[in-house]
Amino acid sequence: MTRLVLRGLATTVAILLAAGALVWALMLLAPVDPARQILLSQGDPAPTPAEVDATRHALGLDDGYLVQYGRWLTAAAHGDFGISWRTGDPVAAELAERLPPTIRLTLVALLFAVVLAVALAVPGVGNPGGGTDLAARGLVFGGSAVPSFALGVVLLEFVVVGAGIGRVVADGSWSGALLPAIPLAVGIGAEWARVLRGGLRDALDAPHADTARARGSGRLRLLLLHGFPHTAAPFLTVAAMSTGGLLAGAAVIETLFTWPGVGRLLITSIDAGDLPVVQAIVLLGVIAYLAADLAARLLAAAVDPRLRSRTR
Amino acid sequence: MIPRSLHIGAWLLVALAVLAVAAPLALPDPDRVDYTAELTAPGAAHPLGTDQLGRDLAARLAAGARTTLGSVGAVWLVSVAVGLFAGTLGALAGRLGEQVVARVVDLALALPQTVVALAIAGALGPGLWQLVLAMSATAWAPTARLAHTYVHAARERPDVIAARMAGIGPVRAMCAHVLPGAAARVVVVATLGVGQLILSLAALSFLGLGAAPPTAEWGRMLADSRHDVIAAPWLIIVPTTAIFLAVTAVSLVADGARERVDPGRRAWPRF
Repeated sequence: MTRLVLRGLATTVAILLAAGALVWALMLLAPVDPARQILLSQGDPAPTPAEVDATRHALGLDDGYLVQYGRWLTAAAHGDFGISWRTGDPVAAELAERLPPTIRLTLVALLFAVVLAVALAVPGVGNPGGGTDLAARGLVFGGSAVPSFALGVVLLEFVVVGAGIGRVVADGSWSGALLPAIPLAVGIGAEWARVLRGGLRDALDAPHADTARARGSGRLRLLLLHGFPHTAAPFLTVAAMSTGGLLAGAAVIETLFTWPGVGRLLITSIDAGDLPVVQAIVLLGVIAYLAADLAARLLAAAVDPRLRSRTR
Repeated sequence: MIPRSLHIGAWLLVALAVLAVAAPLALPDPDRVDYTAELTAPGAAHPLGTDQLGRDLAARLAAGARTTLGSVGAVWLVSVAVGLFAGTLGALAGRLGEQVVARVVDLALALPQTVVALAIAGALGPGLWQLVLAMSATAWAPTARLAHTYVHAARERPDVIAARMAGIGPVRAMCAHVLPGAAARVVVVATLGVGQLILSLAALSFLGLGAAPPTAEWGRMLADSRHDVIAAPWLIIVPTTAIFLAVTAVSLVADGARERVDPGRRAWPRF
């Protein structure tokens, strides 16, 4: 198990370094000159070429790419992502302010998604092809094909504006997260329900489940002791993969509900061409995704002994 | 036997293609603003009603089908072509080349797809082609992984070994004996991801990262008229239904095709 943890950590760090290089390279893709942008953000309305050159030299933007990347990475590792081209403030300070609301929103959405997945997968699993199972499968199919922003618009315009429930301008609190979390959770919950249902059916169709049934174990015991542990590994993998979708979905839902989180900051920064903020948020998203993936792999190995013995 | 889901999905897809290609010819100009016909309910003059600027919704829906499905088709094409190319190249290029391709694919698979798309769209700025490029950046990874695994395994297959022993060169053996099977699987895997692509593309367009107005795009249409949906519910029903049907059609086709290519196996990679 220790070896597994170390291997996982090493892979994650290697991917993170490569991903860091890609995120840094976004700067090269951008159609604007960083030095000019920084001068503009500091309130210089029309920087002269000499000023731009001086800034470029002062910031080391005329050094080699490798040197620049090394410097950016060292600073990023210390939590310093430079200054925002839009506001002129340090990026880290802006992020620190926006992070708690996003964490609240995503946690509530994850909770909803788990409830939804269990509610859709479990009732029909005892009787595949029955009415409950078919209805649940229909809902799963529909839920994964409905765009989350359309659900968000329905909730915002009909429930908040139309019926007057909740607040139009979100404040980022726990109670305010209940409504925006719904559209965020539907797509993910449907995907999880699909995996959970498949895993549960495989487990409950297996000979060992028949044995347990013959020895008189009840439905609940069968589900909890023989069903869920078997679905843990694939479920955790899919759950970690949906972190990526959750982060991108948060950008859509936060923008729609004017939620004061990182996702909306990302979209605002993209609109303004504020690259340092975009880089910081994307790096943060990649880190969250990789951390979730690592955690899922280790948890799956802790639950499923087959994954522990198969160290390549 | 053709699976029923493939049948239904394929007909839906054909209907959408006809909508995209032929309907704009019969319908009025999707960008023509008519302030005398703002928010008209569906009726004889406008079969699906009009939006807040009095533009014909049916015409915009059909024009949007071209934009949305066209860009998704472009990303799909990239993921099939690049995936197949990278996968076979890795197997043909010897040990070192194989390692390089495998690590690049590992990296592309390890990154969150939509977040990467957001990042690249952010660096390039808004625009339809920028968005297609941003989404293609990671879309090829699952297909490349599959093609690579398939081609790698195929080198040990009896028929391929027989062909090589009969004096057929590695490139020709690859093209004649391995590629057809690989291509079928790559197309299926790429198609399995298209539903998610449609949803992502519509979501990113909804955020204003896609086509610039007044270009009709399904996600963008909803974003532009979202404040009028209480007064004119068809403004949300029509584009959402279109997206829903497109995603459903593609999912049905992909599931049916997967069943045809590789019956009985459930564990296929998804995006």
